[in-house]
Amino acid sequence: MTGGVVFGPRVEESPALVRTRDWLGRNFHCEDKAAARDALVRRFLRHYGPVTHSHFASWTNLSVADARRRWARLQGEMVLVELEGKRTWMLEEDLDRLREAPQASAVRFLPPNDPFLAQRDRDNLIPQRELQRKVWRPVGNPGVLLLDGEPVGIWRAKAKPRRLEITLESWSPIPAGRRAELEQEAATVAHLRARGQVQLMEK
Amino acid sequence: MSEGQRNRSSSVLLIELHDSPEGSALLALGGRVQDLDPEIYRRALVEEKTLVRIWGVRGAPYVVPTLYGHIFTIGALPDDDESLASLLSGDALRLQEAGAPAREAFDKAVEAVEAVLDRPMRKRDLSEALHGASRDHLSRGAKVVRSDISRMACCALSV
Repeated sequence: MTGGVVFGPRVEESPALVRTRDWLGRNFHCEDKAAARDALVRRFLRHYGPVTHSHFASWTNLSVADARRRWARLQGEMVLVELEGKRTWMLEEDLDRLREAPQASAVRFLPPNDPFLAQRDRDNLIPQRELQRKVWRPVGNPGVLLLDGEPVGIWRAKAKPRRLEITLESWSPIPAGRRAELEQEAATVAHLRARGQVQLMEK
Repeated sequence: MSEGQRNRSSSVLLIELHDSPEGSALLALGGRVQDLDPEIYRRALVEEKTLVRIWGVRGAPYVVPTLYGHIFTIGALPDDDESLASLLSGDALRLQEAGAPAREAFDKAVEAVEAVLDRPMRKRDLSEALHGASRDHLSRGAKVVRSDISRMACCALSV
């Protein structure tokens, strides 16, 4: 078990797989597999906490028993957080960061499968089941528009030769006072997609 | 993500970034890092190789910091056969029906992937190469999953 293959150069415009040591000049450095496992749990807790070992199992596709064993190894670093009546856990050292987290105040076009959307408690993020079905599809997820931390719509982009077309389906009206931010963020997406112009269309 | 201002450093990259469709990871990073230059991202992936694109255990490409690549590959490996079976899901069932221990077949598939990958290959080219691989590399169990070798290879690739 070596971490032996990664994506390297492109072959005929497609991403190509290559041995890790051929691409990086060495394999991934891992002296201690148990430490690597623990680090994965810590990162999950830091990014998604408060959470449960079942969420971790779902996120990694590991068995629940495997996830529970890994959870138990780090129990001493975690604190119990009651979240809407559920027993959940987070890293104790992150408690202050959570308490002091600023109120969200931004517009963001999250891409399909953004880590924010990979949190396992989907009801917490989007309570309405009919909207969940729009965001998490069997194939071809759309992006999600966040307004002040709240999902308010979905979007898809089509790259044209010189511009990016973004089609937005919002679930509630975007306040007129936020239009400029929305257009600025759309322009940022176009820039990252190597397109000089953006056309924002609303469904 | 909660602040109006973006972060000034890519140290926000705590977690793997899903990169399917390709370019999603760049957008995810661009939503978090102030004034992210796509060219700097490209160089990090292709020239400096401080970022690396792995095949994650959830069967998709992910971008991670190279320094921490082992956490998202080796650290995500199942501890035991039951957990491996959970990861392989339907493939594991077929392996069991064929009387092949999932771990053995999985390990052989890993060996086979590394053996045939003697040059950069697209996933479909790798699948074809695995189909044509020497019988020595593939156990009975691994052959069972050759009908769905991509998925098996994907799991194998992530280790």
